[in-house]
Amino acid sequence: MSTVVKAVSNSRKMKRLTTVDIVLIAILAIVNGVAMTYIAMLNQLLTAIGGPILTSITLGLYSISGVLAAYIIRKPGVAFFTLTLAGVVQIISGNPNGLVSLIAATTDGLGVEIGFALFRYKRWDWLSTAVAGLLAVPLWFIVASFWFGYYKWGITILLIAFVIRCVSGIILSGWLSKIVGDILAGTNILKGFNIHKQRKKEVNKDESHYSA
Amino acid sequence: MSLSFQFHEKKSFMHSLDPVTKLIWMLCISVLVFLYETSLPQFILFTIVFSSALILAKLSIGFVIRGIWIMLLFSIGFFILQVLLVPGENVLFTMGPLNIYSESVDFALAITLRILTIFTTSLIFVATSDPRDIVNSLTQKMKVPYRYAYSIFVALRFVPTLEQEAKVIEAAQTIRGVGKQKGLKNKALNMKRFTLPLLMGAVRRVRVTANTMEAKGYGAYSDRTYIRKVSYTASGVMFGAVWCITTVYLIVERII
Repeated sequence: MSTVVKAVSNSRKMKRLTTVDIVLIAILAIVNGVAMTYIAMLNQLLTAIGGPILTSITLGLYSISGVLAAYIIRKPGVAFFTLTLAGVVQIISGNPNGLVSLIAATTDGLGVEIGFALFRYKRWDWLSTAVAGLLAVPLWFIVASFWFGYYKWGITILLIAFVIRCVSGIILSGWLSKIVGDILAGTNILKGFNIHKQRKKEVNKDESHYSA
Repeated sequence: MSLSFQFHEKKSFMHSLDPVTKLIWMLCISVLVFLYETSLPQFILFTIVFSSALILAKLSIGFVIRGIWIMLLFSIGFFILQVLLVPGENVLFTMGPLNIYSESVDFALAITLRILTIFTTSLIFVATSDPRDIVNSLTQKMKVPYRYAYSIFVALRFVPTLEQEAKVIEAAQTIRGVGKQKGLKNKALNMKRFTLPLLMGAVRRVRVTANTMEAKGYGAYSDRTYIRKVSYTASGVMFGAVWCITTVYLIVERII
């Protein structure tokens, strides 16, 4: 082939997703997607018993792959890409909610992305993961309340559901991914990803501080 | 995962359509179910979708029912809950201390049918679209860069591997005497003991897979060639156009 492969300039290389990133994203999305198909059954049961309030408890788990992938790779666009991919894979691999789960995943991804963008992709701690997990909630809540007719249930039920969703988003999506990400980074299998590089930098900083 | 929700090779009108047209069809139906809040239009829509599953996609009634029965079961629960909780004005009948309003029954019926319609639509889409065609139409028709679109293949390829790995982890833990325990705290510990090795095993595969892909030239060129070509058919374009026009007409009529 006569096409010449051009070397990608260094500044673009930082932002662009490498093949390793894409494969990691795909794997995280499928782990989450497979888990979600099982949780979807539980979710239907919770909807049948307790309507919008009980389903809200597990809601945070839906966006965990996005927050986790962004926390590990730490590049713009990762959260949105991961969750959209998780949505598409869920449709193909047989989630009974179909198109609903795709739209839910996309809106979640948008929220998480905005959450990390607010910190300009520079802060990766309890606060930024909490904000990202929290922002996964509102957009989908608006769509879902119209789609499933929650808005007719009265403002009290809606508010309770919303608060539960926010708490679930912060804990199950934001903080749980930070915990899982830190455990994974601690086992040294994430060498080469930004989470490992930045951890090493932090550790070095601490050591130099003690020696001084 | 229920077996109904997988691609089944067959010859039918829906199978011959390309995924993009089917996606447009799905979007049209999603918009339409979103438009109405009374049970009659929802019922008409459900009948249309259900009959197109039988006639256009040539799926058997048993197949569709098998696909949606779990959903049907839960919809009934959701239906009862809505009938009891959604406020209304005209009392339809009284059941003990409870007043059943006709508005809430109507609304609950509409929402239940809406969920079933969306569910059946996704069933048709999944059962009639080859995943390879879905990815190919993403890259060929919707111009998604193939580096990103192919991540769907990567993800799907790992489903059996992960399932097998999950079985191995479970067996290994059972052999060592760490079986499933009862109680909420133990359940949480079980989750941790099971999920983390699974996740770590998966992450370990990442680098090897990525290296293999790059060694074969993945992502080296901005474009690539395809064995399978996805093309629009005349009847497919007609089908999409009819649905789009109907949807737009109904939206305009609804607003005015």
